[in-house]
Amino acid sequence: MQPIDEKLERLMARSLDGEITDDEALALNKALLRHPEARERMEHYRRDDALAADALRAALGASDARTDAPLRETRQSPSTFKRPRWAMAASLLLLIGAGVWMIGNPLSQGPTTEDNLIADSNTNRTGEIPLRPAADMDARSFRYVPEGPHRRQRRSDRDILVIPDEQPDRPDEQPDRFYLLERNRKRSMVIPAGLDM
Amino acid sequence: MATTMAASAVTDDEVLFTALQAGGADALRTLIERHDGWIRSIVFAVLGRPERVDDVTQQVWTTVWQQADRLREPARWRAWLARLTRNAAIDAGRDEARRRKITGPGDPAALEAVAAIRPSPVEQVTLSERQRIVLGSIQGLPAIYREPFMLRHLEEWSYQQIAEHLDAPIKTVETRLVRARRLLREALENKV
Repeated sequence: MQPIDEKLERLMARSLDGEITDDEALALNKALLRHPEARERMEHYRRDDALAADALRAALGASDARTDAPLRETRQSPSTFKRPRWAMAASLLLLIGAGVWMIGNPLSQGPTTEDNLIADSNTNRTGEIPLRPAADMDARSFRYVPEGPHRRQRRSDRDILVIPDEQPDRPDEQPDRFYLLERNRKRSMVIPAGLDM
Repeated sequence: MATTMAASAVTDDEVLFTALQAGGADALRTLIERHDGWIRSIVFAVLGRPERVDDVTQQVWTTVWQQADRLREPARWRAWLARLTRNAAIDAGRDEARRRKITGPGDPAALEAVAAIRPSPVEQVTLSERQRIVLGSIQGLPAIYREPFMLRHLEEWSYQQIAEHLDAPIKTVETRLVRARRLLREALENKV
């Protein structure tokens, strides 16, 4: 069996990747004509390339827009966001809101700085959630939630909950503050409330 | 012609990054449309786990939105974004390893019960047996070969584009692709 040298293998790769020059293509063809193992290897590589592209596209999805390709309609537009996730988040929000109301709304008395929140989290374990007030957040981060770009997130393990600080006096008013709660389902540990007291 | 188009897209991206730094959400949307693909490729290449790709990619774009103003030279946005992506993927890999160390392999019966309720994302994608074998073999490639291989086979980037992205000579890219193909062939021998 005739070995396949590195140079020939490079030519095969360039040919498969569309990077070969005319002169190199000629040299490759000549080499392949007198080298059956190289021909067989080239066919294997060609098949492997097709299989790899197919498997990668199936698992990760092909890129919808490449750097120098014309722009297409976004696949992550807000309208394509999965509605059941919103419905789920809204249900959770209602449940949390009801829970907060039932225990006398402790969030409205929440601490004012992150340091206090950390300190309090060690001593106060009776149901207060150490949330960061929206007022302390960077304005851009806050704007990201209602106005920023939304990207459809497939197979996400995160929920984002938006909790108003307090009910406004009039129905046409917006609450002054919101609490944003990001929950990573993979990293979160859910403990029955009774065990945490 | 193609070179002119690519060059124009690059300049355009620079403008988009400048707009993003001024808080332009539309600019970010366009950048996501254009560059989400290769970001995902890098995440997979570094992490080697398709089921984490969406989550880490989402995290990357969130960081881009939050930290765009830290990019002092918008002309170098690509290198910045690539570095940010690699770091996010590396961090995700470390977290994963730490979590496995803490929780251990887990109770097989419990794991099976949970899997029955909530199949893993890879299973949700419905891959054929052959696709699984090929994907597993690509995951088995060393990371330095996996990244150019992904960019070539999923994104169809040229050697020149990959070399610029990796900040490596074209010869190096070529060598890595030749070796990646060779290793993949060995891994797939008699399997598919």
